[in-house]
Amino acid sequence: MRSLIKIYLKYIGGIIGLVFFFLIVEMIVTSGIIQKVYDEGSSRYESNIREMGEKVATNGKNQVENPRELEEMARQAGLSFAMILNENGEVIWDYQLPSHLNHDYTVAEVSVLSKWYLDEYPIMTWKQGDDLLVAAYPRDSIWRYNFWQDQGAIHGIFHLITFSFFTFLGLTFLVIILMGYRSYRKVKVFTRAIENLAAGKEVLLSEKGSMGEVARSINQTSDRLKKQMEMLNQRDEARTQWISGVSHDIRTPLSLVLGYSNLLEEKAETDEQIRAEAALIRRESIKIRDLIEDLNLTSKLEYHMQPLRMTQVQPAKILRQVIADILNSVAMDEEKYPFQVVISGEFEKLQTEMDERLMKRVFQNVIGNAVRHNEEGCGIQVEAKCAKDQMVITVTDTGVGIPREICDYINDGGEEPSCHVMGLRIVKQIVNAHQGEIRIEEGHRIYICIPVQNKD
Amino acid sequence: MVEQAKILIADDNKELCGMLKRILKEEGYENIRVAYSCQEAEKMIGQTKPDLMILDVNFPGEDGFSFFQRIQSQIDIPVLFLSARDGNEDRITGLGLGADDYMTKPFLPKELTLRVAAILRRTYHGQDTWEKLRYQIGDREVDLAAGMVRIPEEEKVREVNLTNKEFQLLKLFLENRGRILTFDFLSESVWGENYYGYENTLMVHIRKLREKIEENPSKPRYLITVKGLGYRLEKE
Repeated sequence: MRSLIKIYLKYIGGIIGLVFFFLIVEMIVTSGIIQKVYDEGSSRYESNIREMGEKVATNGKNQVENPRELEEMARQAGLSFAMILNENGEVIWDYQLPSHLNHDYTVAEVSVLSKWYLDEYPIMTWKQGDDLLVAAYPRDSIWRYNFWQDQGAIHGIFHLITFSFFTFLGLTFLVIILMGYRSYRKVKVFTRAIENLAAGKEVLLSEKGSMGEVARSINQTSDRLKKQMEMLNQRDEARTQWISGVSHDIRTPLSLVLGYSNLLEEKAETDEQIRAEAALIRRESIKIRDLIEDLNLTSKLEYHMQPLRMTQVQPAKILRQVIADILNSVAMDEEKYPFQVVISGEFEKLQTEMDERLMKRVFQNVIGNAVRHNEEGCGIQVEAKCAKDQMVITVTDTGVGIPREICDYINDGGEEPSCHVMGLRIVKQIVNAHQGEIRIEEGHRIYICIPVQNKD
Repeated sequence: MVEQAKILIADDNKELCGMLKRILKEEGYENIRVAYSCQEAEKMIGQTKPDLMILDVNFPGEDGFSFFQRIQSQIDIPVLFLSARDGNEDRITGLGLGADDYMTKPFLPKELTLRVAAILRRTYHGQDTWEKLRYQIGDREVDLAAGMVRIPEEEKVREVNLTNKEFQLLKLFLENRGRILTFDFLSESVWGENYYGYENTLMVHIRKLREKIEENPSKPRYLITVKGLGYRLEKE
């Protein structure tokens, strides 16, 4: 989403830069053209008449001294006609002056012709001494306009032009920003949709508008993902159901094996061999039972079909009960497994929300493992304390240790080791379901940290 | 005594029923009947009211839960569910209906007999029927009926009375002899659900109890402290 804002800002910046660039280019080109037009156009007429005017030399008797030279200049300047009026308005020199214009000019006539046209000929005048040079250019060759305007209005017009220029510029930018924002909003919908897709959520966009095509593709992707997810879930569910069914059906026959082997064991007091064999059957059927139960539980936990039943519990009590149960169990030889239980005062008072049965299972598996895997016996230390908002339970044993590949699997995940790891996997699943963490150190020490849900 | 307790087993698996009967017979129960369906069980209950029913959940037709619910409204029988269903929901349904216990298959015979004994003891407490009342701890005799400990001395036997709490504690220890009982279990059994803060009180009572049953209370031989967990009454 952040990158989208960046893209938007870049786009706006780019557009505004481009507008300024065009404005500057436009200004340069326009001023160049104006300069050129002025140089080649109006200024030429002005300089022509000035050069000519300055050449006019009269003596005191209303006579031009250099008529030849003036005629030459008039021809070169391309004039239609020209004349020089003296202070009384009389023509004292002329060049191709049409006969109907060859007369004396009154002050009023002069004032008109000096500003405008004479007989539709555009006129330029030059005052030299007391005389006035009147030069007429061919008809329709020059556009002459005598401009005058109220001073205030001129200022007003300039202000208006400046104001409207900036307003226009501002409006342009506003439109650009708004348009950009609109597309940004539109694209944002899509990026959010894609983000949701990535997070595995369902997405449904409106397929109207210019981006309908894209929206339709995203909707189709969402649909497809949803269907695949459903299929996967169905398969997982079927598998879990199947495992659950098998584990259910195996229970009654296993009860019979377990029960009768145990009865046989107790009955055959005199025959040591039968007794030992019956005990073996009992032990092995307990292993089958545990295995089946583990398989059932792990598959349920894996596919989140084991809902947590959170209740307010006292972890110290559960922990003590589990250890006592292990020590009280029939096959337990206490001498071989010296237990050390250290529970801190804070942990003793701790009350927290957890699934009691599953948490019991965690302790059973972790502590039971140490007993099960060390038939020669080993020391087992259980330590429970609180650290910040977590309860920390450490189980240390002096036995053969947990194989390296199992430690790696539990600590870092990754590929499941070939050896039996279900018990610890269940522990990890349950601990994770309680937002906790498990870590095995050097194969002999298992740390379990679980956040305390409501500490009071 | 136990032999008189009438137990009804209801399970559709004939072999399992046979085994349950065997296990209970080994333990000394003699009055055992077996039903292979809910209908059969109902008929038997109509004839004679059992003292305890071990009931399966999965039957063809009416299941154990609804059968239990139906007969419970008519007649009061302690029920131990013995089921292959081990889900939390099933356990909760069973116990929620008012069953005395819920056990899952497969199980160890000892587990079953202990639970059966516990239910009978709880239900018929004080009726003096199946309870064992005299126990031996070393050369001392505990008489639960009289609530006292008899200590043999040179010539005569000295009698020491037990206080109410000591009696309750000692009874728990005797019934679970050889097993570790946690602080929590003991406090909860004697002081009830909100037992929190009774650890020190428990310690005081244990000390007093030792004075009555131990030769040398400061070096107990029978009532042992299991560090960090609880106490245990050693077997002979």
